[in-house]
Amino acid sequence: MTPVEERVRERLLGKREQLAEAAEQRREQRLVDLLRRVDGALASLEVGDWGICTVCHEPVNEARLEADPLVKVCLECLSADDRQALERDLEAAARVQRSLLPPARFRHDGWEVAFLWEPRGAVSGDHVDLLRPHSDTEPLHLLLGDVMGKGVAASFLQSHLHALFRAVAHPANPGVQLSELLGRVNELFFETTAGSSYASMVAARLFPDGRVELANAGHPRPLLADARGVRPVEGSGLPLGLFAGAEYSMRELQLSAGETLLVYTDGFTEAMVGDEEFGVGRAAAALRRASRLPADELVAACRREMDAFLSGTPRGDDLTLLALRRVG
Amino acid sequence: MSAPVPATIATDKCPDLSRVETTRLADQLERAFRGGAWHGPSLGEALDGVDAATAARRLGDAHSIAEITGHVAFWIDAAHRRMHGEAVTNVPPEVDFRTGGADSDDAWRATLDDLESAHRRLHAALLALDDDQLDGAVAGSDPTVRGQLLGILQHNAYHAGQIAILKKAGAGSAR
Repeated sequence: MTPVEERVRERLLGKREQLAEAAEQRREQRLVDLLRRVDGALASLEVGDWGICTVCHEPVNEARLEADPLVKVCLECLSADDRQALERDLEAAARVQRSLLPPARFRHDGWEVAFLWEPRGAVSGDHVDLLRPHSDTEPLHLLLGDVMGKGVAASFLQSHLHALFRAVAHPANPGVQLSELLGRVNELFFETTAGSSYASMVAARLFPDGRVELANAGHPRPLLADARGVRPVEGSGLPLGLFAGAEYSMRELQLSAGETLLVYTDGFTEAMVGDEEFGVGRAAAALRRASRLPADELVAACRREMDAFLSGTPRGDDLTLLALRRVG
Repeated sequence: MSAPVPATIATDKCPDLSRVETTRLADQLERAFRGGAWHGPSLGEALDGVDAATAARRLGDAHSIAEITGHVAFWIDAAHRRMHGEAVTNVPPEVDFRTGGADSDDAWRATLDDLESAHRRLHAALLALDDDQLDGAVAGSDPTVRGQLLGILQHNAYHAGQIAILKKAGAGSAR
């Protein structure tokens, strides 16, 4: 078995155990059917024809198999009706995902925020969220998350994570530290994924006096642009969903007018041409050049520098750039 | 996020535990060279916008920006060669601070390209090392791989500052 097949087999065996238990308890036909499909895929892995289209006998796209190891037919061999239905579903999923995003540019209590969110395909594993305060004493919460993988499976997990964060950051939990919030989100996410998936996230609380609290769960370091120049904000914990009991720390920054934090997903710094990635150095230099621009123009300028580096090479990942500028 | 399964991922998300220090050093090297350096403008940012005429200008007895750029590229390349077992010793001044590196726009472009490719080679070589290789012996004044790399970091920072000052002074004297 190849390493990919070994991993898929491990995932399927885990799912099989959960499904068998659920099917035993709830006796629903759909669970029984799903269990049969999982058993079929496990049998295919054993005999060596997993990942081969049952119609044309050519290999099924690897990314599609990773997203759904139960797939048996390649996209080319889907019937016209199946293909149209798939496209409609994807379009609907993309619409729903976009509708969950906050406005791409807004101002709040001396802060200017702008972001650029571009899925690699129809839907994204990246997500931006904004939790507006319910009273004058509460801060604004912003988060940027990135779930393992791309496409529909990643977008499902991202929506789940998004809802988890909203639930734990609810005003009914006042006084909870941001680091503690990430700890709780990690526990709940781990319960869902049991370590088989993970996500990175930066969560920020923005206060009207220019203070920012930041907590980072395995996400690329945000870049701070101030009068001294540009540098990464160090300090990161483990990604969410990998280990139960992971602990997170919090950083506090004080931003003055004109200073900017750029938070981004790895689709920015890990954009590749051949063996070379865009990297944090080019990202920092791009931010330095753009640091005096309004937040929306700043993210567009950073994006242009990445495009210039790629010089036509297709982007391999979802991309999100989020600028937080102190204006008050 | 591009990595589908956390097998051995050496990124911010999930560092490869056998390459924690090399990843950190590579990050420092890249930032001191391209951007995001603690001290302010990186070497690349200091050189940004310097044309051949400014690069060739000498202020008093000081080396020109072109000579300093060639010198920095030489020692980055030397660190790379030493990592691969080559002894770089007794370097004559005309090699260390070669002249003519900005005699024309093409010459200046070639000097900058030499610097870029020397940095890329060293950065790539560093990323291929495990942490336990950092204590390997190399020839030179800092006799370990780690010592060489820390030396290059400090050398780059020192000369980035020098270039920034010469650039300002050169711009002033050209008016």
